[in-house]
Amino acid sequence: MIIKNVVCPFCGSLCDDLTVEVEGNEIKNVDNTCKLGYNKIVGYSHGRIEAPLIRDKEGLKEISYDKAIDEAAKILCNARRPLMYGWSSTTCEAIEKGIELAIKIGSLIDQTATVCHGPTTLGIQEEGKPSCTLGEVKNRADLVIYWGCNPFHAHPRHMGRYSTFTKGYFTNKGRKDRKIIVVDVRESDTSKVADIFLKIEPGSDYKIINALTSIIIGNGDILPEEIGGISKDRLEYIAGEMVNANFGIVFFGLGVTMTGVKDKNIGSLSRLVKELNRNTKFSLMPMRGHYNVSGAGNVFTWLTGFPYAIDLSRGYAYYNPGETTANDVLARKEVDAILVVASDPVAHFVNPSIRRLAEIPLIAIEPYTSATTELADLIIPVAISGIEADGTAYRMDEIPIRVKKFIDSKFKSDLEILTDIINRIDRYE
Amino acid sequence: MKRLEVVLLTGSTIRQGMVIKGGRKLTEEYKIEAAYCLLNPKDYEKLGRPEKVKVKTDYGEVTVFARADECMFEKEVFIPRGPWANVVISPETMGTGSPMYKGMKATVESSEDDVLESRQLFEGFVKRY
Repeated sequence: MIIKNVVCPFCGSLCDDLTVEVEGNEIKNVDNTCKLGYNKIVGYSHGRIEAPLIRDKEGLKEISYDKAIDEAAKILCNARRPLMYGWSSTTCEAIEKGIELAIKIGSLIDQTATVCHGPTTLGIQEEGKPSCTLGEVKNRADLVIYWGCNPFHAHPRHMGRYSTFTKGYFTNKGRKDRKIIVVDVRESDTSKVADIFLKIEPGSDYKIINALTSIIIGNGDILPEEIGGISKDRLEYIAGEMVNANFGIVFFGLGVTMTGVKDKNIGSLSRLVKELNRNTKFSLMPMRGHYNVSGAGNVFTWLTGFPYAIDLSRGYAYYNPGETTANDVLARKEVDAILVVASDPVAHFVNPSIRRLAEIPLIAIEPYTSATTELADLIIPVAISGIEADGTAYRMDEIPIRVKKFIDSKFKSDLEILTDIINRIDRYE
Repeated sequence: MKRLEVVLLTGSTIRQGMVIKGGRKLTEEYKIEAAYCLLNPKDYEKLGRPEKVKVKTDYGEVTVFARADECMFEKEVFIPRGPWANVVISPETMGTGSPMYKGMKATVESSEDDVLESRQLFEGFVKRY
């Protein structure tokens, strides 16, 4: 059976034009996908955890699903300072249930943006985000700037579908109608297709963004002759390109978010875009990584008021990044139990945090063996959202898209497992 | 032994993204795609064209395979994000919640140590009962 218009559950581009060939209950082939999406969808059955597992002195052993839910409920009820972490690779419906559980047990809840675009959120909270949809970029953008990101590697179809090579209503010559600028500290596959590549010194983003703003507001005369490895003349040329564009967009990645002054970079980028909007139309968009990390931020925000790092132990939502963020509470050894959903913190957190993860009871709701399941005390296998379970996900421009289910699974979805845990906790209370 | 002071960058690569799905984060394949360090060719020459390098920061040290790459600035090295990079990353989040994944001060020198398997990296964190 051929299923058309399947949504790819890999990155924040959320391409919705995949064609999947299913025979019986197996995926035979996927078309229109990038290498990343292909490997996730075709390799969905590889390395799966086949049954709920619990760890004792001898190692992991199989238990029944019912017993696993029981154990999970016990661990979460007995914890004084639980943390619930992950959420970016599951559906909004499951995330909503996660918040319900966090409120019930008075937990900290954090999502993967904390080690990704967290500082972006902080910058946006200070300065705002003049943004648009990817459809507008496709149809209108004649100047596309990639700053500190490498879509060729992290979002392989982004340039083809939305931003660079695609033809739109006002950009009907595709690539020829657009000017591409890449700003990065090293050459990348993305910089190779750019019209202009600004190779800047590491950590100089803040200086360069503010220098561009100065030029645009007419204060360029106070600038030195060279800033962050780029001559003033060249920056003036770039500023001219920006002001003269009909519709410009800055896509930025972790090269800006994670470097130097972090959230202040994003704040200054937002100010630059605001100033540009006095002259022309300009927008700003973070290149979100996991396919529903944007959804996690949105669901968290509409239910608690805050996008990540929320402490619900006080009976109301408390948010203070640096204090309530996952790596901070773990490194401080504050957390005494953790539930991980749709994420692999052991592979991506820093060592002091992993040391704490090894000391405390760790529940992993996870389809595959991963670094996190190596340290988990209780593993509950789950259906993969976007392949074996449907639901809502948010694209990087915060457009909700329904991800499909096209394979039946013997496992329950994140939503069903979280619901079962909540019901079990209710029974205890 | 020659030791260089460098800026450490980490980030994702497409090849790494391709091999992680399906529980393959614990395989040899992942080690090949995530346990390496890109250096500017001049820096690579200065270190004596080593097969492996030890990257050290105030927080730890890790031995990974060395690769020369034209795309790097001098005094700048890149390790793909993942368990090897995380050994040397600072947990300081400066009030943002995000560790210093990019732009840390580090030193790099040639090394004869083995490149550890991802499982071995976690062995220091085994569960205590």
